[in-house]
This record gives sequence, C-alpha cells and structure tokens, in this order.
Amino acid sequence: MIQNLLILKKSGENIYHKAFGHFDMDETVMSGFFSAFFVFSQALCGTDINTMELGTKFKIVFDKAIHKNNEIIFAAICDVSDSIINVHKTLESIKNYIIFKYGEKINKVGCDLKCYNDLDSFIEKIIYTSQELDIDRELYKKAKEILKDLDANDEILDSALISSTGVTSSTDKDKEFLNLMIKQMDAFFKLTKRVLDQIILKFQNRYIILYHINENLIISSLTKKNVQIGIATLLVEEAASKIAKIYNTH
Amino acid sequence: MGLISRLKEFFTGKPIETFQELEKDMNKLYKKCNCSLIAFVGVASKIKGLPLIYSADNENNVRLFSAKLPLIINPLKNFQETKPIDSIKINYNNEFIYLKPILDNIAFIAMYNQKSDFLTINQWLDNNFSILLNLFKK
Repeated sequence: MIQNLLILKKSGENIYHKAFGHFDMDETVMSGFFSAFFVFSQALCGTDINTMELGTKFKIVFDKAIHKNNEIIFAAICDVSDSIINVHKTLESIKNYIIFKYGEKINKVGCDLKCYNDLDSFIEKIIYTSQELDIDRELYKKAKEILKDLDANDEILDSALISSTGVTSSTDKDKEFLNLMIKQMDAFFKLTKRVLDQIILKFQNRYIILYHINENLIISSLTKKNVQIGIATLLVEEAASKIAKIYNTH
Repeated sequence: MGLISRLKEFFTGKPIETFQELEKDMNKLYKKCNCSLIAFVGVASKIKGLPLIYSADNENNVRLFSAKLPLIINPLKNFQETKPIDSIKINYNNEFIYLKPILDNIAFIAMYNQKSDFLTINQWLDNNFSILLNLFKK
C-alpha cells in the first residue's frame, strides 16, 4: 500500500505530506533529498527519475507537473509489491486535482496545502480506494464462485482476479504467484506503456496463466506441477469467458 | 586508469595485485554486461566523493557520480529504522542506476540500460561480496 505521499516544489519547498501506513519518515529531509536528486538526474541522465527501489521492502514512485514555471514533484512511498501502474494512476489523479484546484496557490512562496480539508479528504479517499479491486460486491461474489469451480479442476491449484492496473483483492494480496505476475505487468508497462493482460510463464514446473477478461479485469491462475498447458489454458479461458458474461449482464 | 597509486595511498598494506585483479575483473564485467558504468566509489570519510576503481564509457560521468553519490546514499541510510537498506535501484525511462553499499564508506554503482545484463552484475557482486569486503577493509 502507499505508505506516504509527499508533494514538493523542485526547489525543495515541501507543500504537502501525509502518512497512510505504519512507516514514518522525516518529510523535510526527504523533500531536500528528492529535490537534489531531481536536479542531479537532469544533469546526469537528462531525464526525470521514474521509480526508486529501496532494498526489498519499499519503492518510491515519482510524477511531476509543471504549472506556470513551477515544477511540482509528487512522490509516493509504497510497498515493493505494489503495482507501479496503479500508483502512477493514483498520482495522476492527485496531480490533476491539485493543479486544477490549487494551481494558483502553489505559485506563492510558503504554500502549505495541508490546511485544506477538502484536499485531505480527496487524497485519503483516492489512496484508500486505489488499493482495493474496483468491482461490484455482487459481481465479485459470482466471479469468486467461477474461480472456485476453476480451482476444483485437476490442473489448477489457485486462481485470482487482478485489475488491469495490477490491483488484487485484499484476500489475495499475499499470494506469491500474483506478486510475480504484478511484477511482470509492471516491467511490461515500463517498457511499452501498455497493459500486459495475456501471458503464460513457466515457474518451477508449474505454469502461471494470465488471461484477459475485459478492459478492467484479468484472471491469473497457478497450475499444479507438470500439467498439460493446453488443457489448463482452455479451463482458464472458459472461466474468463464466464466472468466476462456476468460482467456484461450485471 | 591511473588509479592504482591513489588506491595504494588509501589502502596501504593490501597487496596491490589484488586491486589490479579486481580492476581486470571489473573491465571484463563491464564489457560482458554492456553497462555504461560500473565503479566502486567513496561515500564517506576521507575518500568521500572519490572514484576508486571503475570502468566507464564517459569518465566525466564517473567524476560527477562520485561527487553526488554521497548525497543519495547518506539520506537513505536511515530511511528504514529497523535495518539499513542493502541496495537502491533507480529507474529512468530507459536507464537504471544500481547502488549497493559495500562498507560504511564505500559503495558499488552500476549504470545500465534495458539491453544490459543486470543479472550477471548482481551475481558477480553476490559471488564476490566477501572478497570485496576483505579487500576494502583497512
């Protein structure tokens, strides 16, 4: 999940900070660091920094906006398992809202957006909803039944739904094969700026199948060891088609 | 690369052949993995900001990196309260920078792109980590 959100001017002036998780940081030190780092990146690579992975636990996803000669940096500190596509989408929404509503205020020196309660509520809402699979409860219940039937087959070990931005349901968050798939989706997105929604990976004598349901949803299944991939794919395809059908009629 | 004498100055008492071997090994790794830079850089104490051993496309980048690297490493050292960060990977559009602290005052840095073989760099570091520790310890 997104643990911290930091918004600052490229000059290093901190304009907003909010912590969402258990992880605490010194926002003044980090603002100074991010500002220096953006300048350094421009000098060395001629481009802006995209993401930064810190060990095996955290990563920082960056975005930038330019408003009347002011460069504003948006930094989301999140868990390393979070989907970069989803964090980018969340930052994009926050960025658009802030520029539209507070663009003029940002230009002033000493601007502190923390005092605007409506901004606080907007950011809280968007961060918390972005971490959950965006699907109607009834529809999700029906889709889970279809996945349960899929898992009952001899070839399939486990299945789950992923959104096209790489979000899983809270009950599926710790599944290792899903984290592996989200990493693949992130890597593909970094390279092509497109969503990876169909792929088969071989992993320790098992297959992980990612199959497109519709533009919002993807099914991901982990097979048992040494199964025939053709049969497993057909089963996943059939389940995806059933879910697409109930999605359309809902 | 003209750095051997500088290394001699900083790591007196170590057989210089070992650093020469490391330099040769790094040159091979740099060519094999198609990186634009790999280096061991001083990040604290009297070697802060100095490139120690390196292979690079552009020597100016090495100097710029070495000077700026402490600015990146030092604020992030205390990012996690529980344990120090063992590596940092920075992603630009097509380029990556990988940083790994070796000792309190020395870090490894690699700059590479999508076509580079990062797995081999990582494996080389893992396989040689204890040798590197012993080599750089005063």
